[in-house]
Amino acid sequence: MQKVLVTGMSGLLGSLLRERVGDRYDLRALNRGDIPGVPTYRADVGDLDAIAPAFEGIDVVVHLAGSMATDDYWPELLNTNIAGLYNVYEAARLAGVPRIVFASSTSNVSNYRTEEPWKAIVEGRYHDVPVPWPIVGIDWPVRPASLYACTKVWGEAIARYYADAHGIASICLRIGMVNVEDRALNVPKDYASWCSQEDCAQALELSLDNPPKEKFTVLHVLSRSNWGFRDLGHGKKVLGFDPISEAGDPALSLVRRGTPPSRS
Amino acid sequence: MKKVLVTGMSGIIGTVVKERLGNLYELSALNRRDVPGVPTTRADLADLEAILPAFEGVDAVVHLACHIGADDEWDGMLSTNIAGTYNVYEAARLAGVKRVVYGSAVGVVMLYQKEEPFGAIIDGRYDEAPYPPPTITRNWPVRPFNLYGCTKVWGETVARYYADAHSIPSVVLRIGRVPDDDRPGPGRDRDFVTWCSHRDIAQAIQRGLDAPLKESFVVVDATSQNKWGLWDYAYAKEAIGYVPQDSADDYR
Repeated sequence: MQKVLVTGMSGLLGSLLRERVGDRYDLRALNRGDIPGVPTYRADVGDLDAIAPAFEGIDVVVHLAGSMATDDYWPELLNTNIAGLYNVYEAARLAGVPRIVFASSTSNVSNYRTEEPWKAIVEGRYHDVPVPWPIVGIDWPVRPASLYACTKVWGEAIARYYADAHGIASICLRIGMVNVEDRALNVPKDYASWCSQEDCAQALELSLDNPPKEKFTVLHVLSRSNWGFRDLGHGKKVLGFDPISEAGDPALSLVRRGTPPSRS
Repeated sequence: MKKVLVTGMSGIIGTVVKERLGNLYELSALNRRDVPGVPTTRADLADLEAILPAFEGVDAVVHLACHIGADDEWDGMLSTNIAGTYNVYEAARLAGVKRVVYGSAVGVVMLYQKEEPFGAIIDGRYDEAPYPPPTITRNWPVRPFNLYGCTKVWGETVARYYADAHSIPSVVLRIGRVPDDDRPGPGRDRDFVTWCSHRDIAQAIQRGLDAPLKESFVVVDATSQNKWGLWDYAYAKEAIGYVPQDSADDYR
């Protein structure tokens, strides 16, 4: 059984992963607090020396720990998402861990919504949207929507570098908005960026079961939406990720606004 | 005369700015030690409170200060390049600075050398490479050369975000190697790709400060006009009017 070290298992994504694959992988947690039922190494990712022992003998790291703080909480973002992410990659390198799954974020490219026609999409001005509208590719320049998103871009840069320089394979999952309610709450804005728990769990599971041959992979992890504007084709190709949920009830909400353009 | 604050003026490029652009702008320095002949605020970039006063009343910032080091110098890079660059943008936002010229590095894409023909070109195996060489554009995914290159990706990302969220325009210069003696190093094949003369980096920074911008965020390669340069010279000209005058090949 492969030994998988999960950081941030106390969060929602950690719970999803545990439910989905807990019976097939030997899961360990690296967490600030104890995780009942899972061997937990308690430490702060901001402290490299403290976390290093947790990586010994590990086959795969799933790095989910991260602060989702707003721009006002820079010290926390700096410690957990910047230094912490670097420390996770360093600890993996020192312990000879060959693979990391990194929970990045769709917010890395969310500020394309400051421009048309994506602006019209998130504002629900669907009649202003040309068909087909441009889909943001996985290799487009980043357009982070927050300082938090900037730290996720940092994580991807480190993942890229450690793949090249140290041969550590990384899958960077740009995960959309996953929430406890498991539905798009802030509509129409969230239609394009929502990800169901089911789809998120699928992507995490595939990352462990079916890792790509490439040393470095980035993909969007989102549910289906009539108004999506981030590419999902690349994730299907490289990981087999194929979302099954629909964001909200788009048919209903669109009828209310008139005739929706169909997306071919 | 525009008031321009320069971080890292005691470095090689900062010295070029002082000597070659000192008559075009009212320069001030934000530096850990004094810069002779220039009003200097002495502070560490990692300390936001301490650097804030230097940004008051400034029109533009040229942010060159950084810790250039090997991967084992993480603490210095975390402090100066990551926290420091964030602090520079925060201070610029708080003081209402209207433009930042950020000294990034071609190192953010240099590991394309792991693929051909980039490897051949950078190693000087020209008979294995097509001419003209392919161009690595600003739209390509980054491929950082080292941890230092990763920290420059961070700086570019913060610049992008502050342009969108806080309307602070940035000209990001991906600067090549600017040696103190102003000539490509003997036996350094990669200098024939990345070298940038003092005259050219001065021009790039001056254009970065003065060029009218069509977009609030531009990424421009700042190297000399090297025969084997992998850089987007056409966009540099279009975006800020930068046209390098020198070439590493004149020193072969």
